[in-house]
Amino acid sequence: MKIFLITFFSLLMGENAHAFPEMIRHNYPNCIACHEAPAGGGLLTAYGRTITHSVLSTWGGEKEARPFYGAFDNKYTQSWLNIGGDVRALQLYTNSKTTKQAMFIRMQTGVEAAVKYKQFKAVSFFGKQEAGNMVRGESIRHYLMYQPTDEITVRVGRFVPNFGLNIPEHTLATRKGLGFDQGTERDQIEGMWNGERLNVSGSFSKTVKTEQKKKQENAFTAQVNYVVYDTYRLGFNTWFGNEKQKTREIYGVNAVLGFTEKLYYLSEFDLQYGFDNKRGLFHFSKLGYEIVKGFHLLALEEYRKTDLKNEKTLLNAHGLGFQWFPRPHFDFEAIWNKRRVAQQSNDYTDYAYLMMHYYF
Amino acid sequence: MKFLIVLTATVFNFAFSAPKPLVSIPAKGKTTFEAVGKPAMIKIKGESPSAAALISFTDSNTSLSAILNLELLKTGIDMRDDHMKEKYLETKKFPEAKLVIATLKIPSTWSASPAPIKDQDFDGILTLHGKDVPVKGVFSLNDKKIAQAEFKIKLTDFNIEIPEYLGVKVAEVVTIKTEIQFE
Repeated sequence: MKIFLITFFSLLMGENAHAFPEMIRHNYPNCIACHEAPAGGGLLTAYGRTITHSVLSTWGGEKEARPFYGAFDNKYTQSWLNIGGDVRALQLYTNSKTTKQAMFIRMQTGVEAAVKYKQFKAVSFFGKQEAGNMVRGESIRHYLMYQPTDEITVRVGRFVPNFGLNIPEHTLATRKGLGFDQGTERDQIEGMWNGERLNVSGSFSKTVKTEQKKKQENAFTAQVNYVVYDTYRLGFNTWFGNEKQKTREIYGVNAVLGFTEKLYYLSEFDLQYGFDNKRGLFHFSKLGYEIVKGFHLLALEEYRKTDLKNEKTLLNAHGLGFQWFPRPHFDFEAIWNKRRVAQQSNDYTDYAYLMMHYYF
Repeated sequence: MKFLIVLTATVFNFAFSAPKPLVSIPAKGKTTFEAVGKPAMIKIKGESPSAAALISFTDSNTSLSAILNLELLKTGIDMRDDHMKEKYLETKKFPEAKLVIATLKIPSTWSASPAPIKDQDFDGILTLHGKDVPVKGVFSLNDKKIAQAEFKIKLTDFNIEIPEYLGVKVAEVVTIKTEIQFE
């Protein structure tokens, strides 16, 4: 019954959206206008919802973009409460010399709510997707935020650290490869400055102990982004982690380049000195072109070598695809990749997916 | 008699050689504005075709007058344009903005021998939203007869309400740039 209710409410009330740093091409250098989280991703603000129809989607109207399609608009509750959530699934297809596989994966089902009081905000994402299409009634992301000025935010709670580019393709080398995948929320305290040109953040975090993850990494991360010519952003990020006397350090650079309102390019390079003292390189890049409003052609590329001295640790992929926002609340991304995992084979495997995302 | 002929010719010559005003080419140039939306520091940029402008010369003074049709302003988002024109600029009541710079330090002989004028400070009067407010800015005019002016305005000086939409509030000061091609 509990699971049924969660799923039911998720379908009714879902509200989530990924972060889209490429929105800089529309002069959005920071995430906080459209997302409740200052580092982007997750629950959309009321302003963000209007952007989903006016800037992001092929079709749709202002009212359609609102929570519950505007059916429960109420000025009083809107002033202190924001509810949303999302349902996200993936159809995956792989084809190599030895295997051919198609798989449907439900990735995320949950409800997210933000309660505001003056300069304080409490946010929680409720719903943990588990194997077998089960959803556990548990808050996987939650934080208390204080915003004393337009520029400054302080967050305490459990969330994914702000490191590198927060992109929706969370399985790529710079996200999953470095440990910033979905489900890698950490307990942390974070401070951020969101300026007109400069964006700086720093946080102290600790891995959440689970049955599977017994070791805890304590880490400090810092990120500096600088906006030039309004639609170009360059960033530098560092990570200093410590886990049972072993350390890892990551140094990265990233760029979000909005050449025009239609053409954009994102790229990130991270050099990791891992817990095993091995030096690894992690990289992704994404080139996008919006051919009609809401429909983007994409070229993606990733590279991961966890040990630069060991060829067997290489994973690289390149592919083409599209992302389509037909109407507010809907988001589809389809990518066809050629992927090589050196540990398995030197041959490239066909790897394709269709990601389907419904959010309120 | 000879003196009279020379004098008459000189006077006529002066009259005929009095510099013609510079008239803008409507299809060329543009006017832009830039505002910042807080808290996310969104850059809100608007653009319209060039203002209709005239630079007039007399022996003692050069002046500029430019009129902008506010209905032609666009920010790239239709809904934002509607809010800007209907709620804040009230373009139905106040369809135009007018900038008058009474004195520009440009010699009356400029048309005959155009020489670049760079970053000249100016004092002008901007009429917007039914209010006349003094503005200070920078003016340039190159030898291809392209003028550029930049100045900042405070929205509240013009009785324009500070735009706010769903938690994003526009900063009070807006930067205006205009580029005008003259014939």
